[in-house]
Formats: sequence, C-alpha cells, structure tokens
Amino acid sequence: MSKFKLLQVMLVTGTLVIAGCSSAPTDDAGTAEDTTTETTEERTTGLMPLDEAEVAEAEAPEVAPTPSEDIVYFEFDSFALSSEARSVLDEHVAYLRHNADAVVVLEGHTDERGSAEYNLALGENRAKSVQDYMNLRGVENSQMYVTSFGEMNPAVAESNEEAWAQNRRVEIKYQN
Amino acid sequence: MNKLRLYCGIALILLASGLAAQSSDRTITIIRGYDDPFRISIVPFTWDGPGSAPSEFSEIVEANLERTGQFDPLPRDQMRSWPTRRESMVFREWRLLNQDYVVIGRAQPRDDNRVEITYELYDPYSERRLLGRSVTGDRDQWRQLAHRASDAIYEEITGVRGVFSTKIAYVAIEQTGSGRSHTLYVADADGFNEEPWFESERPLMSPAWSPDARQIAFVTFAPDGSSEVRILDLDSGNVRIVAERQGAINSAPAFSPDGRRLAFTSSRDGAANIYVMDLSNGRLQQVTRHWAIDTEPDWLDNNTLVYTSGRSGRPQIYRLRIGSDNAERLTFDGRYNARPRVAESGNRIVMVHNDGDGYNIATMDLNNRVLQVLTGNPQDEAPSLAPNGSMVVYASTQGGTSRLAWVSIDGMVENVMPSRFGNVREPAWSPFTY
Repeated sequence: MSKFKLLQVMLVTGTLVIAGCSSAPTDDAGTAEDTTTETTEERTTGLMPLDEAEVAEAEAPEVAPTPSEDIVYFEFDSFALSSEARSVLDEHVAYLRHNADAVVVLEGHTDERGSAEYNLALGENRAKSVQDYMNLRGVENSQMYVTSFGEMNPAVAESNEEAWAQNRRVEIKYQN
Repeated sequence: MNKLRLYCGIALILLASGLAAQSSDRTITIIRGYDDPFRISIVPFTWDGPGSAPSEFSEIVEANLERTGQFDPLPRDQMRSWPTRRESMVFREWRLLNQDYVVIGRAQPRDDNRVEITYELYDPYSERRLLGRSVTGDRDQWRQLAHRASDAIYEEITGVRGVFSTKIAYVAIEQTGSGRSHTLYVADADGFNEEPWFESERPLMSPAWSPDARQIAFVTFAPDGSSEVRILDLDSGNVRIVAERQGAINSAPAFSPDGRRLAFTSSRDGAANIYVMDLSNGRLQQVTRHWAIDTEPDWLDNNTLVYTSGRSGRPQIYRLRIGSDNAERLTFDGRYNARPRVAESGNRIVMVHNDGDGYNIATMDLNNRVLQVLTGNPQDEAPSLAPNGSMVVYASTQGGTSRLAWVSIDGMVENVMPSRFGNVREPAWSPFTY
C-alpha cells in the first residue's frame, strides 16, 4: 500500500468518524430540515470528492467493517431516527459507500397497535427515513429498496411494551 | 440465554392461547347483553324420514338469534312440550313460561339429496301465526337454510332485515414449520362453514367486498415486499392483480357503492395517497395529494370518500368529495382515529379509536358528529359493519393473538366469534347475499 493510499484511507476514516459525530442528533424530534443542513455541510467538507473506487481497492477493513447491527428502532407512531438509530445507520453508510454493488432492502415494521393499513404506511415512512438518511450521506438510491409490512410481521408476537418496542423497526437486509 | 428464555415464553404463550382457542371452539360467548330481550322458544324440529337430519336445525336458529343479544331463547329442557304442528300447540303453556314468541318446525328429505324445511312463528298471546314458510335446498345447504329461516324470523320480530345469511371474510394466520401461512377465508356470518380462497406465506390484508358480494379485493405482498391489490372472483375462483408498483404500497382497497370503481392507497408517487381506479378500463385518478399518510378510504356515496389522514400530526378521519381539494376533518375526539368504514345508509361510520387507553372500536353518527366508543379491550382494530348496520365485526388482539368478535352498534352486546384457528384478523362483513 502506497503512502498516498494509506493517507487517503486515514483521511476517509477520519472524515467518517467526524461525519458520525456531527450527525448525532439532539433527540427524536430532529426534523428533516436539520438533517438536510448537516448533510450539505458534510458534502462540502470533502467526503464526496474522494474517489470511491480507489478507496475500495485499499481493502482496509477499518474503512467499512461489516455493520454490527442490522435493525433500527422507533418510537410509537414516529418515523424519526434516534441517535442510536443514526449511529447504526452510519456503519451501513460506510459499508454501502465502499461496496457499490451491495444492495439492501429496508423493511419497515410497526407494533400491533392501531390500524393495520395506517401501520403499513407508517412502516414505509420508517423505511423511507432510513433511505433518506443514508442517501443524504452518500449511499446511492439504486442500492436501497424500501418495503413495509406494517404490523403484519412482528419480531415478537406478544402484546406488551417490550414486544412493541422490538417490533417498531426497520430491518436492513443485504441482498445476495 | 435470555433470548432462549424469551422464545420459550413465547412458545408457551402461543401454546396456551392455542389450547384456549381449541377448548372454546365453536362456543359463542356473550359478554354483555340487553336487560330485556325478546323471550323466544325454538322448539326442536323433527326429521320426518329415514336416517337422521344433518344437524339440529333449531339449534342453528337459536344460536343466531341469541348472538344478537336481542333474544333470550328458552332452554329446551324447560319447555313443557315439543310441538311441531299448530294442532299440537297449547298456547297457554307458552304464556305461562312468559314466552313472547314460539318457533316450531319440521324437516324432511326430498328426492336427489334435497331437504325441505317448514317453520312457523307464533305469538302465544294473540295465538296468531306470524310467519309460516317452507324452504327447499340441497342437503349440504342445511346451515344456509337455517340462516334464511333466522333472517325471516328476525325481520318479522324486529322489523330489521337479518344478516344471518351474509358472509364474513377474514385472514387466518397459522404457524408452519418455517414461518407463517396466511389464508383468506370466507365463512358464514356465524363463523361456521369457512372456506379457504387464497393462501400465501407472506401477509394478506384488508379484504373488501364488492357490493354484489361476488368479488373480494384484498392485499398481498410480492416477493420483493411491495404490497399489491388483487381481486378474487368468487364465481370462478380467479384472482387478478389490479394495482401494483415495485417498491411502493398498493393497499386498502374499497369498492364504490355502484361497484364500478375501486379506491385504494398507493405510495407510487412518494407519499401514501388515495387513488380511484375505474374498474372497466383501469384508469387511475389521484384523489389526495399530501405528504402525510392518507389511507383506508371508504365510500360515503359514489362521489365521496372518508379516509384516515396523518396530516394533523396524528391519524384522524377526513371526508373528501372526489375531485375536490377540500378535505374536511370529521373526528376531533381522541388522539387516534383510523380505519373508517361506512354504514350502508351512509350516515354513520365505525373506526379504530384511541383516547390514551387502548385501541377500541367507536362509531360516529355523521348527522350530529357524536362519537361513541363501543368496545373496551386493549387492542381492537379492523371494524366492519353488518349490512343492516346492527353489528360490527372486528379483530381483538391479546397476548399477540388475534380473534374476531362482534359488538352491536349501540355497544350493548359483545361476543366472540368461534373459530378453529388460533389467530384470525382483518374481518370484512359481506353485503346482503340475496
């Protein structure tokens, strides 16, 4: 590995860390506008101009380790991303940006409460907020498919707060 | 380890609820009732022929009437005689038992595996015969014949058309080795005679009847996870896809009262909005354009929809004339009102309602906008009105398992629908079938 490439890798890693920090939101109430502003800044601070293909060749596992979590969770009747959700997604952003042929299905789910059809749309909104977040951080929309099962496929088939919290989720599913 | 324990717990709960469902199999449980129901005696019918009757005709009629909560049938062992013809009726006997009405009848086999049933309804005080009919059908239509008789008796006494011959479509979810199977069933309104029509390893949702009761629109999921609207033709058994779009929701179908159009929800242009399709040519009209969720349309008349919208920040119910942009919010009581279904009269809706304590079924009279909560379980959804407006069928979930229940439109009578399945949801009550 040339010194230049090593430097580039370090740069990217550093930038990603900074991106991760700067993207930590204050709370669930973070609005779409906040997100847009943050991301615009990142884009102008040099994350985008790097040659992605070259970085991928560097084969450095620290750059885009396999994400450790593939589920993000939501508050009731909300599709806002929590800071925990964002840090999970940041790992996927890094991975997807460095694996341009990787494709994910973002599968939205809700808890069982309320109406099934409304929940189907709510699940889709959750998957879309994940998609929007990752797209604003440089993941191509062609790498992401959004689906929703609403309340129809619970992770935990029980009726209590704990089960509901586990069921309000978006599953990030890598294809092939 | 914790996870293992959790899964064992789930398995136990599923097992227990499965057992509970089985032990209460076919038993109608009336949770509430009226203080002063009609007292009626349905005398056991005789079978005038060789062999035996397919089942107890009078028991089917009795269960039908009892389930409405408007009738209090006399147990047969408290009757002093079991007449089957007018000649053997002693009216005084029934007056002494305080009976408002007496039903007698008999069944006999006819040629070609057919049966004939004769039934009569009497008022023991006036000693008049109020109703006397003979119906003939195939032996395997036995229950339908009993439902027809129940319809006639109910209408004669209450003045309201009976719904015992109508059907209820629903989705049963069963655990299979590798996952879940979802099956669209159509059953008699009493929960019996269930027939499977469509099965999928992926979820099925939102069955909706055509006004002639010959088609059911419902929602399936494609292998890529997009939802799609299909229409099942009950005459041919054929199923066709009418609305699909990869990577989008296509769901919540509802036939217009004239049967010519289908309203549904689609997110094909980004947000979930409501569309109307002309079923003769597939032409689409976008009805709502809002970034918030708009879904669950139903028809107040051939030009007006009610639907759920999240535009106020929480789901509430709106009314919109097709072609207009002027959505009128109908619900202000409670923080969550969704899934409006319209009574056939067009002046009442039922919905899922939450006021901070559980999700219940509620109804609103559109003339005075008064909202009344009908149920008090923790998690009720998917209300669907009987075509005579007297009852609502809905799904009630407890412990992760859903079953169907009925509640009367005044909230006075509530009972659980018998089913052989442990997990049943998404009920849709058919229109009148004759």
